[in-house]
Amino acid sequence: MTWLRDVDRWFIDEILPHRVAFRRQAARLVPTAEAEDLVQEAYARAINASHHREIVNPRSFVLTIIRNLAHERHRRATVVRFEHLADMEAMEIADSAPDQFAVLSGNMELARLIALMEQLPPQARAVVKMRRIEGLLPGDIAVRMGLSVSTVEKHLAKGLAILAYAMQEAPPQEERAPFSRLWQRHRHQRK
Amino acid sequence: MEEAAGWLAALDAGSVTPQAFEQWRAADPRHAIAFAQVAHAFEQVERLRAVEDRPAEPAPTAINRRGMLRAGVLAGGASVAGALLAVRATAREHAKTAIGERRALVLDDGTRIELNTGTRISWRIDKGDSRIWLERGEIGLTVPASLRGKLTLEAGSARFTLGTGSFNARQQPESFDFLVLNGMADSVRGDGLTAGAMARVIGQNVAIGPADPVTLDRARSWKDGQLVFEGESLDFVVAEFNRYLDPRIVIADPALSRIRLGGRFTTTNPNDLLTALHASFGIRSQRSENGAITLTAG
Repeated sequence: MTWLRDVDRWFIDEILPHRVAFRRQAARLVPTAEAEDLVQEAYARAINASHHREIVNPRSFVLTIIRNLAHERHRRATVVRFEHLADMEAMEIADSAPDQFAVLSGNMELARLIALMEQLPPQARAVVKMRRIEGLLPGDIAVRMGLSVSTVEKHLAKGLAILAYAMQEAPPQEERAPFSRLWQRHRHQRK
Repeated sequence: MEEAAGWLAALDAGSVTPQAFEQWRAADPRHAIAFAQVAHAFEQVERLRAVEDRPAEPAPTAINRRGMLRAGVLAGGASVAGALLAVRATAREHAKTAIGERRALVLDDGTRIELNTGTRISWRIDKGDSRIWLERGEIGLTVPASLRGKLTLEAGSARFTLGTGSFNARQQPESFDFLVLNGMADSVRGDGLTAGAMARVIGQNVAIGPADPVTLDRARSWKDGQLVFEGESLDFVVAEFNRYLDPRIVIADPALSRIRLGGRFTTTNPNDLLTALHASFGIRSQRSENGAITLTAG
């Protein structure tokens, strides 16, 4: 796509595949409601990085940004709940297994993508399918559907927005009960 | 996201100029991110060409390493119930706990006493008249209905008569705090205290009023080794932890005292606190020459 800069390409290929890990990291550091916001703030720092091609490990780079931003937020917050204090042990596990996470999210994506496509509004789904899977041009789609090009454009935008939004959502995963997280770890250490 | 998708669809249809688009994208990094996310979705859909008309494979089951780890931890957990001791009454007896220790005992009259860290009590049981002294630290008392006689609790100049119920008594550096969790009690002046009431004794002065919910929660939770906070400063949190610690934690950087913490800490193990402070605030801890753990901003 000609309208993607090198940094956008890098962001899509090197950063977005790890979004599940980023969200997990953020959810461990701040309340659930703020986690996505924290990830977005870290993305903003990452996409403005002038030296992005020199970053050896983009995943660790963003994980570190998330941690530093969380530190800043905690220092500013009036009250920080213990439930949101970080679990270092779990973060190390997440950090040390990048390939496993990347592969996992890659595989899930295709199955989810099919499911997501099925959930699009009929018009939007038809336009996205014709444009991306059948490879028709917007003008051809307009003729085939008997719509104006600008209406086709709107359906495409709607479909893509829904897909992109849903793809940012972490796949459903087991919620860790906040109760006695540290206590369990304490017991573990005593064993 | 809708806005970014609109730009992509417009670029795709050729209805906007690249200059207008660049201007929009450069205006805010969030625009660039949303656009990259939408572009990613745009690209991803194309991958479905390969799987069109083929039934979708079931998604692989993710093995949750943390979940497995947790199951193992739960199964291996050990009970830390305090030692329950039956003690025979003599003239005047003592019991104490070391720093970090907790224990429970049952007096001959049936009163159950739990001793928190660094506590010393003594008691005397005569016919139908029991007296307990809290010399230092903190205790929880459960007085059974079967106790027909009179039970008095004393600490310094403070004295309370306890009915059936459960109570908490704590020697603070500046005061003696007495809480009624259940049942009722009377102060030496004859003021009646019912469930949820707290008496704070400073010298000869006794102030009685309803206790904060967090104070009541705290009095119930220490018996399970849990510490409860509600927005107190790091100073306060560290002081609470230090009751259980020897050597103690020292805040070396006064700026750190501004941090406020809330919630339930489910262990008195300082390593968990130090790890959490490091991970969440970048606070560093170091063991100094005299053994104390000092906290500094990272």
